[in-house]
Amino acid sequence: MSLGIEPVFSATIIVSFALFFVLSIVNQLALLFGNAKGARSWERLLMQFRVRGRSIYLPVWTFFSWVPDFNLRLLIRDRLDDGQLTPWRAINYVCIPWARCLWNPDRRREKANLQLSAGLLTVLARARDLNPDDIFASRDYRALVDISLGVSPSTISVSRQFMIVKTYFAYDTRPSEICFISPHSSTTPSSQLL
Amino acid sequence: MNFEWIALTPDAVFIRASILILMAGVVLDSAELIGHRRLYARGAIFGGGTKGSDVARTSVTPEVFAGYTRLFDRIAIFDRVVTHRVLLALNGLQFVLAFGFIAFPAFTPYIVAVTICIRLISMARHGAHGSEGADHMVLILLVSTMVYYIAPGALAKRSVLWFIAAQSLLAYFTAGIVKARHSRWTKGSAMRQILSTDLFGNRPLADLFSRRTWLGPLLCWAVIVFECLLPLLVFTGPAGCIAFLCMGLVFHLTIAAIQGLNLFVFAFAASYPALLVTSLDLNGLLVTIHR
Repeated sequence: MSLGIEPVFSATIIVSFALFFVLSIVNQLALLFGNAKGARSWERLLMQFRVRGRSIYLPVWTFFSWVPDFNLRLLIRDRLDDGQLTPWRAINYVCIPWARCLWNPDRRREKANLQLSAGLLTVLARARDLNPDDIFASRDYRALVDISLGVSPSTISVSRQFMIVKTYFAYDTRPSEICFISPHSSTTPSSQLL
Repeated sequence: MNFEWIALTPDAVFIRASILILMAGVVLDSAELIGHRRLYARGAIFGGGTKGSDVARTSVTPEVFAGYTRLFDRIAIFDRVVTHRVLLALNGLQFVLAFGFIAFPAFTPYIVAVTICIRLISMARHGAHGSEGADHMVLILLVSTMVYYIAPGALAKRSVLWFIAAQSLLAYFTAGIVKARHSRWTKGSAMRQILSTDLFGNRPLADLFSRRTWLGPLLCWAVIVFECLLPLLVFTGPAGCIAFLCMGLVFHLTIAAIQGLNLFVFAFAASYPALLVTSLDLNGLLVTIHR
């Protein structure tokens, strides 16, 4: 008795979907019980297959599992060619509240800013265990340098630095905190960090 | 109410309904990317590195790059090939193809296949930063619908719809359970905090939550109950399922209006036709078991 290709193909599809769904469940369980030993092993395993820190294969459905009690704001300032420093200025989020349901491309930029700032603060929190160079070589730091340099400088700017500030919500009386101030990076095309 | 029409409607109609909703989301997503193309230019946030990327990587502790070193370093050439102009061109193509799906229905599988490739390239290029769960749902649905077109038998085709429904339900349950385990959600402060953020915030509503302190716990628990329990309506048959889908649509539209998460509406609504079919199948199975 010969088995046709169609039933085999159908079975392959069904089994593949079933397997992917089981792996999806395991991934959610690992996120729900992140401190368990098995969950950490699973996380380490998935890390091997990530593309730029992103698991593009298995879904993560834990929406709003992290509830922040602060905003992280990114500010920049320039050193001018006469040595003077400009005031700090925020890289602002342009928010149009009631049009956001139709058009909201800024959310990705703002989320990336937040994730990179939070990522750098995590690296800093672990800085005692790390080589100091690690902070400046971390992808989050390098990306934040890129972002800060991506904002058009004035023509007389020679270098730029960025600052991460933690601001609390309107109902919270705690004052804002400066979390990180970067060294200056040259705004001219060919230079490295100053 | 008679739901025979669901059983009489071919699966292909439900799949086409899913693709139509998905493509509307894809049009919006591509338009947003094209409209904000400066964010993807070299040196901008999604544009690949300039100076920051040139910092020497000597004596780096591996943990710092956890999740980046292996593939990231290997695909450095990827950025050189997929420049921001290439990415914009691909997204322009994606935008046009999404309309092409309506004009040339016979080419749907090819259009879906190309859309999957473009979205994978975009996801790989942007990495984790700025991404959201809706991207994943859109990709899963696109791949599933693609498989539907190449699946040979009726059972394999039907399993695609079951899979979509299962992923959608898993998403709701996981989101609900994770909130039910989080003290800020159970104590009712989560909504006010989220609405106070720059990213997902809505200042007038955050102020309202501060003035009416009972609103926070009420809505936090409403969200938890909606995500944890109401998807169970799918198991009660088509009437319950349709009630859940209507509430789900209102839920996602409200989130889009308040928080600007517009892609979620399309990503989840596209899974609803599959949920309806699965609900009918589950109901039929339960009736058979009871007999």
